[in-house]
Amino acid sequence: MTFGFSRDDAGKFLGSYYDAKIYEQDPFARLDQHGVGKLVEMAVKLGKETRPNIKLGICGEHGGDPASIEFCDRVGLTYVSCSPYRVPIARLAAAQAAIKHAPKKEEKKAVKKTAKKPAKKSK
Amino acid sequence: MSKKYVYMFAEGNANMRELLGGKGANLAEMASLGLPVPYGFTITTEACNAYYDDGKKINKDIMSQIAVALKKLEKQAGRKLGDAKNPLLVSVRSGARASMPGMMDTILNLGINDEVAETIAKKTNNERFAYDSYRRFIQMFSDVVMELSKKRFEEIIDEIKEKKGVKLDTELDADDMKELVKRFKAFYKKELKEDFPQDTSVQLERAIEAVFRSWNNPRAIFYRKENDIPSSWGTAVNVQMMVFGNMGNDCGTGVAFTRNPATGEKKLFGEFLMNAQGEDVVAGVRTPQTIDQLKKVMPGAYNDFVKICNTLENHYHDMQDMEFTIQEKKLFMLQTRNGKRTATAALKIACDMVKEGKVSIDQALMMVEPKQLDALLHPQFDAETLKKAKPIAKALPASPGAACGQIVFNAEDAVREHKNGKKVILVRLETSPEDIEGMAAAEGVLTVRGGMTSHAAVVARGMGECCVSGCGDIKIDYAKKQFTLNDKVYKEFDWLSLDGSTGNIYGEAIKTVPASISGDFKKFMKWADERRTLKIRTNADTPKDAAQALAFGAEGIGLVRTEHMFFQEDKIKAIREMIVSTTAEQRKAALEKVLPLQQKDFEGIYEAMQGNPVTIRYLDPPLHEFVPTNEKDIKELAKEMGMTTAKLKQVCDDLHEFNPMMGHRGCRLAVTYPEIAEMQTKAVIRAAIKVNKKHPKWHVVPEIMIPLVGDVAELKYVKNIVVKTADEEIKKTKANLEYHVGTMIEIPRAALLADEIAKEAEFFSSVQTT
Repeated sequence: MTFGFSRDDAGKFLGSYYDAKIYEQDPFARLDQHGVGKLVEMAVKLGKETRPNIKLGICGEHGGDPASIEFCDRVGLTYVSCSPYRVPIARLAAAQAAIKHAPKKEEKKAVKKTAKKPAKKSK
Repeated sequence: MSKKYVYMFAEGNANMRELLGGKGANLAEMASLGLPVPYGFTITTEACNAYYDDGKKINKDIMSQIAVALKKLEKQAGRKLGDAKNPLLVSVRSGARASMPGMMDTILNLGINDEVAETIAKKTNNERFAYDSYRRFIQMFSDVVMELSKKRFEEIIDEIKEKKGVKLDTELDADDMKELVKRFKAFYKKELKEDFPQDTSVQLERAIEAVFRSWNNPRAIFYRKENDIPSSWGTAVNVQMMVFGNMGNDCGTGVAFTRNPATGEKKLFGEFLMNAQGEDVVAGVRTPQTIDQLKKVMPGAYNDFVKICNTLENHYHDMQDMEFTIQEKKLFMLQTRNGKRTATAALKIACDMVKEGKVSIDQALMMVEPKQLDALLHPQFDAETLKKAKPIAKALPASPGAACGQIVFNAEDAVREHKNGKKVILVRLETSPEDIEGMAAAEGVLTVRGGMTSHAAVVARGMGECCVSGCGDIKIDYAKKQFTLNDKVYKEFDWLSLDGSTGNIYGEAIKTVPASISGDFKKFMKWADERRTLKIRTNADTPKDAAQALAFGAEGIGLVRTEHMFFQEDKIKAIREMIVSTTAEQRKAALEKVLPLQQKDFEGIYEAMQGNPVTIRYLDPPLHEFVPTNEKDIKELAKEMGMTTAKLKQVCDDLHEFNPMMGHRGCRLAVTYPEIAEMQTKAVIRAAIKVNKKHPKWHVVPEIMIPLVGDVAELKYVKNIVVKTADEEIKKTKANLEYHVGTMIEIPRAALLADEIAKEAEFFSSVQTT
């Protein structure tokens, strides 16, 4: 909707756009953080102003794309929704996003904690 | 001051991969760890970008920085490039930020000319080695830099071998190598109308340019596209002093992984060749030995190598993929990088390394590429059977998985044969929403037209069903129920197997085995769940999909598309009656028929989700999508509605819109036909009350999503209808049911006015993202 073209028709011309390096990614498979992302961030911010506990999520093909999931984690969505067979992928991508977005200190702590635990277990 | 474009290995480290590329950064890192790395320098990725910006030319500034680095390298090595007395030979190798194995070019033995070859022969007292290196250099330089066909050079080698009556390269002696050099040079001159360059600095400059150029060769471009690597990254170039694995029988070269990249087993995995150079291992001219055998052949080098493997794995906290060369019993490291591995190996290595205390759980979680898990979630072909099978064609790998079944050509046949207990593969020119039931019944879908985001691909991925799309070589004859591929005819019920991960199509039955989350996979996913804050829901329109998603760890449904249910056979008739109704009474009568069926759909989904939240999107697509298209259905419907077929066709045509995606759809349907929203609300609420009653421990809280809202007043209008209907239902049964009403932010105006819309919306259940 924001791009002004629909999934059902975009196949006809997106190929030429990739060849010409106008777009590098299929905007239907990966969330366009640069443009559409601005709208998403705006909706999240405005929505939370009115209703601080508002539940926010995305669905569609993007819900299973790791780069899009990282974006969703960063802008503070509550959930992502994806096709059943992408659920495990999304679970891991969400964990990786949380690790990447964790403040540095916490990360160090986590390393210490977990490094000790398994050593005990293996005995 | 000008920018620094060239770094000696001693000046770099592993954190500089953006600038030095993966190979350069790791060579620098290994050097700083004190490992035996031949001296060298790296020309940065920025120099590559400058090369392209300057119109495919290396500018003067960069050339002079390379000259300075070369001087330093010559000093470290104690030899000089092109020197008649003490010549230095170098390798020139690519190395991008992300590993792109085999995609770009490498040139070895650079710096040899006629004079240098003679010197090397004398100095090493090994004429064969000198001319073997020279002929290899001519071969590689011609192939990579001058783009002469490799094949012709192989043919010349074969000619000489034949003349001599030998089979192996190693059986050729010094004179044969000299003869090869002569013939190669003659061929070079004949093809390129110039002599093979004797000036070693010209050799170097052209080689560096060739590596920059290889960043844009077709296979590198293809690999980048497949792996999301931006073309703006560029490649670095590593110029490194040569060490020789082909100097005699106390020399060799090999590649190895610190753990098995296929299974993850903690055991050195790799192979090597004695008296050979790198490309011999890859080319498969001679059969290499496994790495364990190095222990017997050269115990000293083997022990050093094992020690280095441990050092590197501990240092990088990951499984390493390494290249090494042994020159006169001394080991040299030429490369290390995090090794590519299968999904199974990735999980085992991550779990093992946590157990060994080598990485934290957070680090382990970062070691597995999420997309890789896909390979573990779909039924897979039995590996042994697959090995023996030969594909009949290859098309787009639209949805992963393995499927094996008998060919059918339309959705009805797929449904019928599936009910009869047959496994079928649905073969279509392309698929449309009407084919959904047939797609679900089939093991896999093969289409002639359509790409990775075609209807077939998107729906198949949603279902977790294997799909291969866009096989344009297939000619379908629907009437005869057969298709032709490469002059061979495939009839209905012939066996076909599809590999949705590679796009391979097989004209035979290949056994499959199902997927499950267990063992390392289960343990690993538990770690992921403990670490993430984002909740994961699923898009599911059927209880089967919902149950599958729950088994894969979904915490609710983020999107139920009610219209997908409408296409099912039991509902489509009533839906069509509703659509072509000309009066509100007719419409209500039709909706009465849909209501119990829709309620049953929701009950099934709530049951499958076991009390987890479910977001239901109200009817969204334009009504025109539902009207019958074939003559038989039109006649039947006309009869049912008491209309003439002409009148019915008129009604259907009136539904046609110039721009249906911007037309009468989404909440606009509920504004004009409130009775549709009323019916859907009754179904949602009644189903929830019933399921909660049956399972007192569950608390189904339906989330009703009003689609395509652009203004708060519009949302409020529809919400009022929903709330009024819902509250009446709840009051009637005296049940205690919580429910929420929200919307989808998909129209840009809604995003701009999200603060106003949030006054009425309890959730933005779906921020539409294109």
